[in-house]
Amino acid sequence: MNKKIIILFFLLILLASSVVVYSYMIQPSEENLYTGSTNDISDEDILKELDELFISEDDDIEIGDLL
Amino acid sequence: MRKIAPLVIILMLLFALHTAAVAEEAGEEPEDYQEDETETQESGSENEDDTDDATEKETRIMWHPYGAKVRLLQLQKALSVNILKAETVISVLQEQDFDTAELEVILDQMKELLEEVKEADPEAEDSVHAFVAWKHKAIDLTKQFREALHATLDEATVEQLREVIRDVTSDTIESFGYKIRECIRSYNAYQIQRVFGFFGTANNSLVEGYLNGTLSLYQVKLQLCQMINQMTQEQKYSAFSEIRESNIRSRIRP
Repeated sequence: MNKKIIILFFLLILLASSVVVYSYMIQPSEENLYTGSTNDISDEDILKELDELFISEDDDIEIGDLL
Repeated sequence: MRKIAPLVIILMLLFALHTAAVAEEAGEEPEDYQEDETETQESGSENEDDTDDATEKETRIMWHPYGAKVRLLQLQKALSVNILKAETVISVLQEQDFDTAELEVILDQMKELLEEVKEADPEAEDSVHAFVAWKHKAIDLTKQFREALHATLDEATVEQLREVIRDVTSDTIESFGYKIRECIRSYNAYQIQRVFGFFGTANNSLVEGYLNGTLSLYQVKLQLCQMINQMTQEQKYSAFSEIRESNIRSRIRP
């Protein structure tokens, strides 16, 4: 019985340690965060933001048809 | 066994915590994306009662006087088009001895609304709310006219009237189109200058090229995109963030 408790206790410590280590590892460093963000900016993203910044020259508003 | 049970429960709890940590990591988005979505959702729910999606998007440019002027001119143009069409319809129906009293009342209300919009000050603090109210009134009057017409005429007559008014236009409506394009160009030129402000540089040739028509808006956007791509990682990130921030602000401003 005692042997089982000791094994479970070690397993508990092992799992707790892995959670702590994993949590620490997934925290991105400032450098990684910065590099990741810039690599993610595609032409499509830039053009999408630029589209929103400007008004299309054929832009119009709709109030409905009379008939 | 009693001694083992709490340990097993603790083990299960820790395993669940570990799984949750892994799941969170898998579904994680960059922090700024999450913020953007939250802000957009908040602004959407605030305006939900007052405006539909299209109107909400239309008001995004009204933070600047040129943007407000564009929207007010577009509303004037839309109202002018419908007034001209309504006059044509009433005139045709009168020739055929139809009772047009109800239609004329709606037409008068449209004309009153147009005068109100014409007198609006694009730089007024409440220009956004006024625009939303006027646009909804214009939609409502158009709907009233359409329903009144459909209540008295059969579908064949309505179809004939559609043909009559299809290409109706006037010099006034044409001039609105010209004024709107000018205002849109001025607004866009201002935005190009703002983008260069984000870059920390100035480039008058791009603005001038756009204003005098040698560069289309699409060409301007491509050039700006190329400039961003030629920047260092730090500059690129900074410029992109500034543009996004500006867009987010314009979404939540009204």
